[in-house]
Amino acid sequence: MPHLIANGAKIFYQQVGEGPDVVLVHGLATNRAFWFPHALQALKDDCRVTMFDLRGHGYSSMPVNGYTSADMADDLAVLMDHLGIEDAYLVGHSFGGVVALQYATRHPERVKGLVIADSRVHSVQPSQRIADQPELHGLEKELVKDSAEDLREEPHIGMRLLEELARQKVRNGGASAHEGFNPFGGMGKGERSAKLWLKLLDTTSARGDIRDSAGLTVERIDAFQKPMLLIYGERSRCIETCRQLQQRLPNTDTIIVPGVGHFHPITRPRYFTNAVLDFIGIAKLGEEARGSDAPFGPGFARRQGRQQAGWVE
Amino acid sequence: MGNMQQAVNTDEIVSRVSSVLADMTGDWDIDYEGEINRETRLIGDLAFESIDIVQLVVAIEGEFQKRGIPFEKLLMIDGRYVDDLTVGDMADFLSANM
Repeated sequence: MPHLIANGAKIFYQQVGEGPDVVLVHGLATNRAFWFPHALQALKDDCRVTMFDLRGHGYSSMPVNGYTSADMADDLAVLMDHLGIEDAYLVGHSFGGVVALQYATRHPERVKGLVIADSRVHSVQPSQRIADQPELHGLEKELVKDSAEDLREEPHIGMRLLEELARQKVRNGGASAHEGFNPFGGMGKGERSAKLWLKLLDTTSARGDIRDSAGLTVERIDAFQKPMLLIYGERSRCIETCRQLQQRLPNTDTIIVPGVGHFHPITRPRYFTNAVLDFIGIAKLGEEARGSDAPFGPGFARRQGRQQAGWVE
Repeated sequence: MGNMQQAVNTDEIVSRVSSVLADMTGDWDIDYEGEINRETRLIGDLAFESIDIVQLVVAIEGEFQKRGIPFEKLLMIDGRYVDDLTVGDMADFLSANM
């Protein structure tokens, strides 16, 4: 099984396809399987895709510390060196996007372009409360109702809801009271993934580390000049980060995926995969793309970015 | 004759896939105590989750020394994971796609 040791952690990875390098970085509480059904299938015919499990996630080991975005960017650096990846497009979802941004601002010469999908960057969005985006959706309504505490004042609500969801899943023996999207995986019950996430929160430094901006200051972000695509769900609780990054980095492409929230790479996958392919210069103009509501075609992101440049006002 | 050859090959594949699964699940806390065979279900019996399927793909490619097997044709229907599959389903797929 392919793995390496990075800064004391055993990191499992896999590579699929041939072509320009694309490295996919998943978010919290999930693993590299997040990318398998959609992003990997869309990219593997044209790119060499590298996926890995962040430390404390999936098959990778769970050291007692080292869970800031900077620590994980160091793991990514070891992985890219180990695999001989000189430069790559980095694609990160949620906390994975923060890890990718940490890496990109430290090693810009190794990054051809950066896709940030629904990440919350603490230096530009220090808190994330229900009141910032008060509309609750299916699963969120249940979690807020069922929680023993009042979550309305919780300043890190996204991470907290993931924890509440995991506790609910473990209490119910893997069954989910909700039929919708399952952040702990699209196959099987996800009970083991939920337990793994709780173990990470309860037995390591992860809970505090994840909230640490870890040197990713606005000055560091402002100095970043490589091509970047921001792709955020319209209903996402991370959208303030999108607004801030768009204002700070005016040449950044931005896509807002209508009608969906934080997990849009899974819940609205074709929109996401076509935008990523377009960003890295591979236009897919086949029947599949034409038949969907997804963006496609060269320059879509740039056109879309200009069209939406005014929405922050 | 051809069918018999295929049957033998598939039995050998079942055996090798079962062995890979036994290695993977050896230290898992699951209730399933039977021998892994053609009828064993990955989710229903072995409590597989998405990450295990992805890791199994890597392990099978290692076992058979072959890359680029189109596993998505077995694992996905209309962009969603299948509900479950057996060792036999996997062996038949490998027999037809390697």
